[in-house]
Amino acid sequence: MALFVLRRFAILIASVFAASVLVFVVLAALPGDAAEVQLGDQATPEALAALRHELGLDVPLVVQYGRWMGGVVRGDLGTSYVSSLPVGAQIRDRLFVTGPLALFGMTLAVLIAAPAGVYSAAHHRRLGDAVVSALTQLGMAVPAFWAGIMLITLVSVKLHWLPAGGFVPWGQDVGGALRSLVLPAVSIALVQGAILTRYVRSAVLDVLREDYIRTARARGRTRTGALVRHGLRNAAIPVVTVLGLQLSFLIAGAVVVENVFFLPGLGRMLLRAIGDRDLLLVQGTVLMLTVVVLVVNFLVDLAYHYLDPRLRTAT
Amino acid sequence: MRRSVTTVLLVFAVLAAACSGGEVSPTASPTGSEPPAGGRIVVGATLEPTTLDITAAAAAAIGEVFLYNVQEGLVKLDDNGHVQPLLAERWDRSADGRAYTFHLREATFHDGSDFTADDVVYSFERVLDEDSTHPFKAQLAKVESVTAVDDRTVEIRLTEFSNDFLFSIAQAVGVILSEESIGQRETSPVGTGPFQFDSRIPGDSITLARYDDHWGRGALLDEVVFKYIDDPNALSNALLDGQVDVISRITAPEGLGQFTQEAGFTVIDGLTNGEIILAMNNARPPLDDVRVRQAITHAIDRQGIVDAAYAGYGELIGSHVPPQDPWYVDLTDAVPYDPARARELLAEAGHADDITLALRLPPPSYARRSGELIASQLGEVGITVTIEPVEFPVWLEEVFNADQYDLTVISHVEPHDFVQYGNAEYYWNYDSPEVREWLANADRELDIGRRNELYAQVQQRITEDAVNVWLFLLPNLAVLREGIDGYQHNRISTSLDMTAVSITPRS
Amino acid sequence: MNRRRRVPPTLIAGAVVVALVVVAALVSLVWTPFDPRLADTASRLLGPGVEGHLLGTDQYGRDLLSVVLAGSQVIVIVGVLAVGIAAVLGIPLGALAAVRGGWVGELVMRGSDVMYAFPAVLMALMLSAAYGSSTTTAMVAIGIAYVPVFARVTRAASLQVLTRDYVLAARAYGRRSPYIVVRHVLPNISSVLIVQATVAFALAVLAEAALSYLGVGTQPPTPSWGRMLKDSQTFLDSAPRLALWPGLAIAAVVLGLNLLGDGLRDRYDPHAHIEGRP
Repeated sequence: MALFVLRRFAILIASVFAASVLVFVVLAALPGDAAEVQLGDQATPEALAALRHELGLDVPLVVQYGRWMGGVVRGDLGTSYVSSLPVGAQIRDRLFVTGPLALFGMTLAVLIAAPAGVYSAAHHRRLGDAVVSALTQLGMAVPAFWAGIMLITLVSVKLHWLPAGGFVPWGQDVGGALRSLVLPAVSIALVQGAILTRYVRSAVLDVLREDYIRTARARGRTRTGALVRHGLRNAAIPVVTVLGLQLSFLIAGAVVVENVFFLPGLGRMLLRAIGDRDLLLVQGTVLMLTVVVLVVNFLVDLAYHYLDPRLRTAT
Repeated sequence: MRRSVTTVLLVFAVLAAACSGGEVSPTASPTGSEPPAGGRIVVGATLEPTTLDITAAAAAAIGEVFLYNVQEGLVKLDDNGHVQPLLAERWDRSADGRAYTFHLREATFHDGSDFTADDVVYSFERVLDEDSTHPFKAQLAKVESVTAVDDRTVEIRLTEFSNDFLFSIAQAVGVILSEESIGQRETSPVGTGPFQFDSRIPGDSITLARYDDHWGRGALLDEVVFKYIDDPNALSNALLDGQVDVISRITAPEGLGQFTQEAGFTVIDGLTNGEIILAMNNARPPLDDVRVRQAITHAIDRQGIVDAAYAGYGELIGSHVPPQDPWYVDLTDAVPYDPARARELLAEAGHADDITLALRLPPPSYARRSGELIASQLGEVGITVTIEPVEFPVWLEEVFNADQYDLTVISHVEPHDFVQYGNAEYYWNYDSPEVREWLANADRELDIGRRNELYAQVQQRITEDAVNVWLFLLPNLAVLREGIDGYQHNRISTSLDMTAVSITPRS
Repeated sequence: MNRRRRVPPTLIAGAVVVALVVVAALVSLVWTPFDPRLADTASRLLGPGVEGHLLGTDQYGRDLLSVVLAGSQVIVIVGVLAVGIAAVLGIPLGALAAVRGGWVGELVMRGSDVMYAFPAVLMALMLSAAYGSSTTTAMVAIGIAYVPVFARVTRAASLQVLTRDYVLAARAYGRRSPYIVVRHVLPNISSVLIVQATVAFALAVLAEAALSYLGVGTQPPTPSWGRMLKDSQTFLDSAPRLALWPGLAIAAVVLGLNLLGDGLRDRYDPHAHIEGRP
């Protein structure tokens, strides 16, 4: 087991570096020389050269990458050329919005999917399954941002139940902050919930076919009873794996939804940073997001191997 | 004889202006009594400055927050565009107009140091210095010397009289800075204004707090927060929710209907200096042919654009001068909407249907929306337009600096900026020696009447030459929640002057 | 009656919807009720049925139906090309991983794991920052983001086929790997790949809509459902139909593709491992 963990960890580190190279290479083509942007059109060539040297832009790309990543591993994501503010601090502040949003959305999705998926599997080939199936089809077809817009129109503008956007800072009013996240989380959860419901249904159906379920039923348990007692733990395994895989989709959803509801999270900051040509901020944010996904998948991998005794003994 | 009468009138006008104290209250206080002191206003703004240094970038976003609120010059522009005293309580001007003597008030900077004539010299020399990269350096081109006569007196000598001199130094280029605090100008700027910089959350807001030791009446509010929300829906919702108290710039006017008086809002529809133009690169064929440019002007239904892009808000203009300027000539119908005439002109120029132009559009809604309409309207007369939306940094670099464009839509908000029609290097690439001469003569012309005549000639000529298409004047659309007084009706300078603004708490 | 031979209703429904979209895209290339780019400002915000505009007009005076129809072109182009890129790059990689195994296979799989951490939207944001926003950037980004999907599915399906008798026989006969892949593996996994393609197509449509909504996808004046949704937001209280039709169109296309994919899977290989499709 320990060897397995070590090996997976090494792969994680390698993946993080690979991701960082990808991000750096793609964004190296960003137009708008930072020195020119800062000094404007009145700048003399000497002033430009001096600023380029100060910003470290006059060295080969490989060296620039080395300096950037060197800072990253020490926790320093650099200082923006555009705003003169530290990138790491900006990302950290935004994380307090995007993180809770993603968590909230995922939780709602699971709360929808677990009962719906089990219900659907239990009513396999009957009306209940068909209804849930139709609903999940719709849920997967609707773009999350359209759901958001419709929710705003209905819940905020017409009914005034919840705010239409904006974010009340946690420090100011925890209740207000949570209320600001409800509609965005629901928009995400509608889509993710639909997808997860199908995964749960499929996992439960697989479990229901297993021998140990048949044995339990033969011994007198009802189908539901057998399911609950023996099956759910095993059904949970593939679903947990899926949660990890869905994380990147969830993050993508959060990025878009943040722009619909004007939440001060990583998604909106990323869009603004792109418009401002704030290279370091874009690099740092994208790297952060991908690292989160890679780390979570790493943890899910470990959890998966821990939960599934068949695999545990195999290693 | 006429000259001396004019001079006397001028002197009276200056004295009158100096005596008026510089206070304007466009939104009347309902009870007529003293407006309430204290309180906090959150202003919903759309464009956040990236740097806070007003001397480093031309961005109007910086002036909105800092000009007149935090940083002051010798003079300021009031809500009607007139020059008023600020750090200079009065000034004398020599008869030939080449020497100004400013008598300075006693004031202190937010960093505690005293305001003296040396600070004026320092600030001006910072702009004029050879290596300075100040974006508005050209506005001080005629300044010959700035000398501190004593602690409270400064003399500025010009190479020749300039009508625009006072006007220019009333804005960003004339801001007086403290040498002691020059190092923090990008992150926490210091000035002599009624508010001082308090804090900033990048991507979110800038907060100003009242400066209690202001030389004048000081600010009424305790705190002003500029909250940056660039999405028009989110901004509207923030006002409806109460997250902001003011929307300083409405970019989607179709949404104004929801801010009714019954609901407790006041809509402001004032003037700006923002001429929204369809700029044409006069150096690029086929746009170098005046007939093609005239055809383009005839092809555009400007009222239709105002209606569709800006819900009908916005005055039509025929040249690069807004109606509030004293030398304004109404040329709105000089080149009317006439697609048939447009096709005629194109055929005459030999380009009946073979022109393709790239229209590069910066982010503001007036540009993106007008752009789509322009593409459709030009398509109707046989000109194919491809739209290229660009972000502001790219627009500045490529369109404005490098002239890499055919057409673009932008609003020119600087007051009196039509002097750029004398600058052949300006991104329009319009080169008219006559216009250049008229503009130069007008600026040095001491006689107001003659000056206005010259400016009128300039307007006629640039309209005849169809240098650009003047789409409409950007309105100053703002919404206030009830209880707010003293808010400016127009936006003449870039400043959102909060000095005289007060708020009555919601009952 | 052999149940397996019956064509599932989902397959039919999905196929019909997808066919309609393709027809709309093709027809709108040559004809629409009105010119989708003609902004007749005098006829702004007309209601449905007024002056021959079946769905009304938008805020610029353009016929809503024509714009919606024309919007299908981008959908089809992006879907086909993004999936094409992903397939052309991903399938060979997956086959390679399956056939070679060992560290090559390991590398391909780890590489696809890294790529998995870049959802299409994020990839597109990065590319548009570097190369400007356009339909092409969005398409390429989405295509690249789905390469790992095709790689994985190809590998999983290929591994199964590679153990079959005829493959072993072919090897014994001396056939080289590329021949085996092309002649034996690909034809046998084609049904799985087609189902995966419909899933990827659906996801590509959603991704392009999201990107256009954000402003980094299809640029004006090319009609785009996602961008229409963004532009309609300030008119939600005065003209909600401006947001309704493009949203419905997106949902309908994605639904159709999903149903098609489901139907194909039910028909050909219900237990196949499909990425993103429980």
